[in-house]
This record gives sequence, C-alpha cells and structure tokens, in this order.
Amino acid sequence: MSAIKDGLRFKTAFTTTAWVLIPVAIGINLIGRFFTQTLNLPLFLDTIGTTMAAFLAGPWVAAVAGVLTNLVIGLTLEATSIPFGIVNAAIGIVAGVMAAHGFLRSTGKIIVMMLCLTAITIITAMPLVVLVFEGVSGSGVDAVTGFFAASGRNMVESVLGQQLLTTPGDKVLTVLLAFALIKGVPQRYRPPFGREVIPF
Amino acid sequence: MSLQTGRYDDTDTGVVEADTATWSPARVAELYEIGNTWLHRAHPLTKLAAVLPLSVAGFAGDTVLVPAILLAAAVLTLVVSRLGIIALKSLRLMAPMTFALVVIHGIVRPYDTEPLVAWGPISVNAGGLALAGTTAARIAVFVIAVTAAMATVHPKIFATALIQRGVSHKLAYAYLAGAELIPEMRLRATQILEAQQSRGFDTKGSLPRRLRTLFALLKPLLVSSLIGVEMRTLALESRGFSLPGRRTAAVAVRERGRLLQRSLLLASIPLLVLAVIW
Repeated sequence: MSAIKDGLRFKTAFTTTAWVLIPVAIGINLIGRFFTQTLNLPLFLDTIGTTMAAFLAGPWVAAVAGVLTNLVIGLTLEATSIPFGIVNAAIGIVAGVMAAHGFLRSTGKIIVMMLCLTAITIITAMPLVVLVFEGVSGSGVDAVTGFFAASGRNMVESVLGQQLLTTPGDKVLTVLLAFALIKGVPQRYRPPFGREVIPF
Repeated sequence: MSLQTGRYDDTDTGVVEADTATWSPARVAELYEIGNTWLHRAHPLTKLAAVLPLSVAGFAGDTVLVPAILLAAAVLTLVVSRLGIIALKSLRLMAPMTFALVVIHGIVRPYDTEPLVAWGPISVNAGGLALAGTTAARIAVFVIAVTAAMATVHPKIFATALIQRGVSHKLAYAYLAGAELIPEMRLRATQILEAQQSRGFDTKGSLPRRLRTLFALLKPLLVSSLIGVEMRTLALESRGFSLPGRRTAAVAVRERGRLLQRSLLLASIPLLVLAVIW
C-alpha cells in the first residue's frame, strides 16, 4: 500500500519513472487523437495517455502529463489547445485519486469512474468553450452545438447538450482502452503504483 | 546559421555553443521554422512574455476593431520579417474554428433582430456575424502570437532558457522529451497503420469494426512505449537525473531581456482589467 500512498503524495509521486512516463503519456494522448482522425471516429481519445499515467503513477503525475500535453501540442502544433490543459489535468487528478481508492477493482466501480470523468470533463471544459471560444471547438462536434443553437437554445445550453452527447462515449472508451492496455503490459514493467491499483 | 551542418551560429542569436549534430533534421523541420530573423534572435522567454499582453489586449474592448488591428499588425510584421509562412500556418489553423463561428453565430442561431440577408430557411444576422468576427480575431491574435513565439525557437533552446531561469530540469526534460516525441510517435503510428492495413485491417468499415481496428492499432504502440519506460528510466538514472544540484547544459542561452520580459508581463495587468471591465 505504500506505493499508493507515495503516488497520492505530491512530494513522493515524482520518481524518475514518473518523469519518464510523462512524455510517453503526452505521445499516447497525441496518438489517440491521430488514430481517431484517421479512422473518422466521432471521438477525441486525447486523454488516454493522461488516464494511463493516472493508473500507473497517480494523480499528480497525471495532472502534470495532462497540462504538458496541451502545452506541448499548443506550443508546437495547435495554440488553441493550451487553455484545455486544465481539463486534461482535472481528468488526471480524478482518475488517479479514484484508481488509488480501488475504483479499478470491479466493473461497477469502473462505471462510476467513467461517469465521474465525464462529469469533470464537462464541468471544466464548458466554461472555457463558452467564455473563450463562444461555443465552438473547430472540430466535428460543432455540428451538434449548431443543432442545439438552431433550435433556439442559448450558448450554455447548446454546449452542455453537445458535451452530454459526445463526452460519455469518449470517456467510456478512454477508461476501457487505458485499463485494457495496461493489463496487456506484464506486471514487472508497471510502476509500483500501477502494480497495486491493477493487481492482475 | 545552419542547423543541418550541426552548428547553431552564435554571432547574433541569443544562443551560444549549441552542438546540433544530434538534432535530427526531420524533427527540426517539424518543430520550428529555421531562420535568422529578429524573431529568431530574440530571447525565447521575451517572445513568450509578449504573448500574454498581446492576447489579453485582443479582449480589451467589445468590438472587432482592437483584435482586428492587432491581427493585421501581427500578420504584416511577420510578412515583412519574411515569416509569412508562420502567419499562413496560424490562419490555416484558425480556418475550421472561424467557419464554425460564422455558421453558428451568423447563420444558424435565431435572433430577434431583422436579418441582413434571408434566403429560404437560411438567414444571415449582422450581430451574429460581428460576434463571430470578433471572437475569431481574438483567438487568431493568440494563435499567431504563440505560433510566432514558438516556431522561431527550437524546443531544446526553449527548455534550456527555462532551466537557466530556475525551472526544474526534470520539468524541462518532460516538456522537451514530449515535444521531440511528437514527430517520432506520428511516424510510428503511420508505420503501424500501414502495416495493419497491409494485413487487411478495415479502416473504413462500420463503427464497431473501426473501434476494433483502433484497439489493434493502439495496442502494439502503447505496450511497446510502456515497456520502453523502464529502459529510459535506467538510462536517465545512470546519468544522474535524480541527483540534486544545478545542471550544465550543452546549449547555453545568453541571458538578456529580463527587464523587457517583466515589463511585458506587467503590461498585461491593466489590459486584463480592461478586458474584464468590457
């Protein structure tokens, strides 16, 4: 249990393995996005790396991985993704804390985790989309926002409707993929936190 | 200046002693625009500090005028500085967002006011178009400022500048490794995609089939990345990554522009107040 305690404590969470895991998580976040675009899937899957970092090294490491993902992508590829670092960090913190408290040990608890991740994504992303970007994101989901806006709803309601329709599927798949992929890695290659939160 | 030949010229730039022999040209080309303009020569943190007041200024005032003037000035400056490619990249990035803003606010959203143009069920609203234009211009100012600041500095030099100002070398490593991993991961992803396609994987079938393909594509890449973590950890540990103390860097950035950087950050405060008031 000490590995879980270390992962939850900011001072002890950042081991060398954790620092190495962060760029890997950034790369995985980017690849999720790349593959969904290639396969024309109505999903983002740009937080698989953050969720995996949360399951393997705890909430703080995942939060840093989340913020850095959006910073790296923002500073090198797409500046508009910088503000959404907050959303990525929040997902990392919630996933890490829940993983540490045994939410990966039964199907029911995993479903609760998916719901919590959906909720935290909507709570953190919605104010940004509405206040900074006036409801748009420049991706395909804008069509859904447009649909709600055309029916006379205000921007907050339109963005909320869009997020309620698109976020749950994305988060369900993100958690499932992160969980299944970690299970595919032999125990000895997982960091101690990861070995304890997914002990099979 | 020639990065491909393994030397980063020291005469005018803020950078001294940069052995670039290990910088792959492919990585360099993807991450930034090679050049020797005044923007390339400016200190990386001065450029970054300028992003804040520029972006906040775009939000000061509730008309399109302020962000439009800022945007026009930024584009003109880049074109005159022979960095028009950066302006083009930024505007191309803004295209889908601008399109969505115009469609949602200018055409789709119902308003109580008289439409500018009405054609069957489609009507164009002047107020909606103004809102779309203002928002697009504001975001474009931010995008162009960030792109201009970061596309003219190699991530390695940016990370070194951060370390020299006291940022943890571990955090700088994570940023740099992440930035350098982008082209590498893209290449590996493309290779896996092509390899799986040659084995008959369907990338254009039904949704469940494409989801199965997604898992098949992600698994080898992610599992190999995670297994590689242990090796990288050992390599870093053997180089004293976790030892305390200051680090010397292969690339040294000449210290300058502290006062300008502070002034730029301070200038953001009144602009932020103005933006909040409006």
